[in-house]
Amino acid sequence: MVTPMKASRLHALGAAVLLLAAAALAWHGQPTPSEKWRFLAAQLEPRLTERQVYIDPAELMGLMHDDYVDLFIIDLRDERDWNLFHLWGAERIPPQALSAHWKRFANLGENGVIVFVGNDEAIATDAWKQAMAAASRPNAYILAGGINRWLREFSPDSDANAPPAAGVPDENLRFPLKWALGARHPASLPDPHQTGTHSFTRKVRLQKRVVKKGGCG
Amino acid sequence: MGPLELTAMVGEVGAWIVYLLIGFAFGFILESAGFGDSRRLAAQFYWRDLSVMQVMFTGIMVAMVLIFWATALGWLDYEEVWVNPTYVWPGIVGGLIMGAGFIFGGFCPGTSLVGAATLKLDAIWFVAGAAVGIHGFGETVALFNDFWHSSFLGRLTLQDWLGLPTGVVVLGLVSIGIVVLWAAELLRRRLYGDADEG
Repeated sequence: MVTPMKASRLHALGAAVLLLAAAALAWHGQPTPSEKWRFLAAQLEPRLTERQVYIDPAELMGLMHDDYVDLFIIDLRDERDWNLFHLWGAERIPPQALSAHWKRFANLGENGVIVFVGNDEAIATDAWKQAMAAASRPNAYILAGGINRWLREFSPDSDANAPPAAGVPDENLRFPLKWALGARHPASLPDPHQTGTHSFTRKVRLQKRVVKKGGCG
Repeated sequence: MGPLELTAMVGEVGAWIVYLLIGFAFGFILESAGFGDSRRLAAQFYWRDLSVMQVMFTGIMVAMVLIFWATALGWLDYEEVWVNPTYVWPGIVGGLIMGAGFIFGGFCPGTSLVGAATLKLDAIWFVAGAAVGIHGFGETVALFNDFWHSSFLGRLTLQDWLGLPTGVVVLGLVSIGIVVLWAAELLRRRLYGDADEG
């Protein structure tokens, strides 16, 4: 039988253990998006290695003309490249400012789609990983080949057979642009009827959110 | 990494069995704590018996520490855990109604099921009343739909609201909880002496 004095000591011990666990938690902290990605990598890395989330520029063009889809094009490039050219309806968010948008990304509607865009794929891939870790796995994709590929395919100045500029590191805008037209460039919103497209595999799927509910009685 | 996709792991029937076991354990614990007795529950509001506050606060603090330690170690994805979205004014009004019902009836919805399971008449009537109330709400909610969806703040947590690291918030809440429980026990003894609770 537990006497009042023993009960009192047990209460004190329990409180001390709980307080210690909470203090240790405050010291240890919660995982950053990068650390959280390490936990999720086994589950989500195949989506990258199997190119399941890299969408063809032609598919993104289709989404841009689809009124049903609530499309968020997130341009991660610097201001200079953004001013030179960016996609119609895109939103420029530098990678270091993404954390302010996780809540918004986590609360997309059922027809919401996010596409991360860089000049190539590296920073967009990194942003995708962080979004998966920090924004409750939104319906997000990456523009395959980035803006460099987009311009090669859709710019009227492009010679699609010409190889990209050599000797330039990744994530630089390799396509020569004479003026800073931003979204006024003809390639910012190509017309699919005039452009014509090659065949591609559709990868974007609208997510049906399973509403998990809870509560206590 | 949790939360676990039970249906994918163990099939639909397996998932239902898990829910059943969790429900059984929950009811067992509540009955063991004496929460199937409306007199014990109502006594909380007169500070005669602090079991409700002690058990609930302790459960909340322990669960909170476990959840965030599991998140810190990569066992649980906290962003995937359901957090009731915040509707400020509907929450306040609903809380007032539930509090009034708790003190009038001596039960909250979960404990009324515990009491009904042991065939306590007051619990059975409470469950019946709750069923009527739920049905009545469903039939009339369209009349006050605007209010019901008003003051929506989304998935809002204390750490979001305060702008503090999660661990700091947890430590603060545990500290406050322990102090509150200790102070409440002191107050109870001052009001009613050192007599045993209940």
